[in-house]
Amino acid sequence: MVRYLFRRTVSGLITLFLFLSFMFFFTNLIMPGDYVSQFALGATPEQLAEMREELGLDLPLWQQYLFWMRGLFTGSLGTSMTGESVWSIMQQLLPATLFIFFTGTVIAFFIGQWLGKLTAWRGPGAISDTTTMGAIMLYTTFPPWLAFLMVYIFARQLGWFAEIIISPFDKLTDTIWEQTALQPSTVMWYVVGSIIAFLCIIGIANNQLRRFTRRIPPFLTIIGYIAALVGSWFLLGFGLQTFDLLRVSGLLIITYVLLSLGEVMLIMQTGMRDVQHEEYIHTARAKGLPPHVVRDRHAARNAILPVFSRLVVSIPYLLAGLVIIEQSFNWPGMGAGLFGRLITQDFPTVLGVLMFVGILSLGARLILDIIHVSLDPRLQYQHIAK
Amino acid sequence: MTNATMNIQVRNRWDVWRLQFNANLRRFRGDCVVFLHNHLAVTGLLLLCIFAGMAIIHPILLATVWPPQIYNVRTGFDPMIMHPSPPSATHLLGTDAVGRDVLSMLLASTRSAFVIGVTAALITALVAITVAVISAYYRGIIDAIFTHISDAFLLVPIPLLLVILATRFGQDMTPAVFGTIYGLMAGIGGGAIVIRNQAVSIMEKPFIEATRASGSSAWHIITAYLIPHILPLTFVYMMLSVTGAIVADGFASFFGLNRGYINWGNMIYLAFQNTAINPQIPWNVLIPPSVALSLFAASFYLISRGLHDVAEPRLRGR
Repeated sequence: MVRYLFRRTVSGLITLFLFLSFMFFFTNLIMPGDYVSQFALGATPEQLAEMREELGLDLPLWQQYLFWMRGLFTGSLGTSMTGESVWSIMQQLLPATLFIFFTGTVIAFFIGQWLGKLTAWRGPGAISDTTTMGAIMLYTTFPPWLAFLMVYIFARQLGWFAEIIISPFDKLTDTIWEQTALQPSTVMWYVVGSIIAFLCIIGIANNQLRRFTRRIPPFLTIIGYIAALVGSWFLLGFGLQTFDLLRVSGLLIITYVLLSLGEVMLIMQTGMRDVQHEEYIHTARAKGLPPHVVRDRHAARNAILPVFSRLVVSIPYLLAGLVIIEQSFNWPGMGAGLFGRLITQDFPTVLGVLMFVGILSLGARLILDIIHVSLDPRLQYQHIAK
Repeated sequence: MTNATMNIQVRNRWDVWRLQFNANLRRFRGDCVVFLHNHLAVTGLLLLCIFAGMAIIHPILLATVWPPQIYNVRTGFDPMIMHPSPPSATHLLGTDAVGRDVLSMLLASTRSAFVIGVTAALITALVAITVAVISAYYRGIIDAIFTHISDAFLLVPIPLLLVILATRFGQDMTPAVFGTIYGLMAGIGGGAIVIRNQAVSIMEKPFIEATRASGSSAWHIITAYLIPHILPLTFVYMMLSVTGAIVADGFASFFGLNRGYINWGNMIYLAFQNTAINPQIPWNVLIPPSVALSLFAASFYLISRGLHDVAEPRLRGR
């Protein structure tokens, strides 16, 4: 297992290197002009040349590339064109995006796989066909349009989540944040960390827990899990603050969940439909097991594998989609930074953002691979055999 | 060789060909039954037919009923009414702020959507099959190189890449070029990975070994055995890539960067831009392209579900 992880990490790093090199040359070669040329109207050619020299833009492209790569290997992301270091810009932008991404993806994953499981198990019919159609419409909907509709209907007409319209961070309740020394971004990091830790604990302890939860109805178990997660926030002392953040960003999270829910549901449904006709399902039924046990423990456990492998593939798309809807919501995450800086050609920052997208997807890929192996014993033997 | 034997040979070849044709026809009929059994797939096919009709009818309408100076998608202007106007008898979906007919724009966008979809699907399939077949057949170092490249391309957020491209080439971007770029990206990235996995599992089947043992060349194994077995999955993936390409095209246009041709994303972008000047939201310009974009992408997705049923032999028994 350790050898396998090591090999995966190395190949992930190679992939990241290829990706960053491609994006570096792509952005630099395709975008016309450079950062300095936007000041061309207000400055003399000498001033422009001086600025280029200061920013290192007068060097040939391959030298810029080598400098940038050297920076990456020594652990610095370089400095942006406005003089700040890229890392400090990232520290401002990352938590806001990750907060939405993790909460949204986890919610979308659980609701989506649950819906997909049920609709596939019911088979074709009025209810499941309507649900499937709804999921397909959500999957193919145009994200900015959905974001606009959500803001228009819920924030403007009904007045819920109205904080999201202009600068949500200024609308946080002061009295709650005065009780603690924590910053909003720190709380966001904590929430992300606690969700990951909680999922890992459940994932590892699932088989042991099942012994106790078998007799309890599943929805009570889920309520228990959620209560434990929320309780841990309050115990660690940032519960109220988290809810304040959720109040401000609720509409964005809901939109993101709607956008990514459809895909998860459809893949789960396809997986379930394929699995349904396997022989072990017939065996399990013939043994006289109750239908929900066959569904949840025999069929769903196998059908969920493609959802994991598909989730791995679509993380960059999910992030790109998130980055785009962030713009419609004025959420101060990576989306706000990315497109503005792309247009002004502040490439070090853009590449920094892209690098985080890459690291995040590769990291998630590694984690999901481990989950995949632990869910599918056949793969485990393959890796040991190698 | 006498004339008689030649006749027999020719005749045999003809018979073999006819038998093959009949068998294929029978299989095709069976596939059609499986496909038509899936109600959602039939819905998708119907939707697609409606869109095809929309694409065909636009030039006909412009040539016969609609005077071009009023209904042209770029320069049309109706001097008789105030713009923007709500839906009326002469303009079924109303007009936008500049006075162009929304229905005409909607119909004209269908054609570019089809061009983008078809080019994207074909290029995706071509690239994905090439990469998948080479890495599955030769394995080893070639496979490793291609897999790493595919993984790297998988990380590239395609909408962002298209925004970058559109900044430079926005003026003279055509639907075909757009579809080609999307197809290349999707083919090297996701497509190659999905189809390679399938191809690898086929290469390990016993019948490939049998063909190798009987001395077939690499070309023969690839064209006669490998590609026919990965084609069904490729069709499913092609349909999915159409969905992706249409939404990506919407993105690039939504940022106001794809000005070379008219499409739905462009219409949505212009409608939103207009709300900055005129606070009244132009629903008649906003809703039709959004719904059309969504339904167009959905119709290909639905068809891909039907094809999945056809390609998945285990579902045949139902």
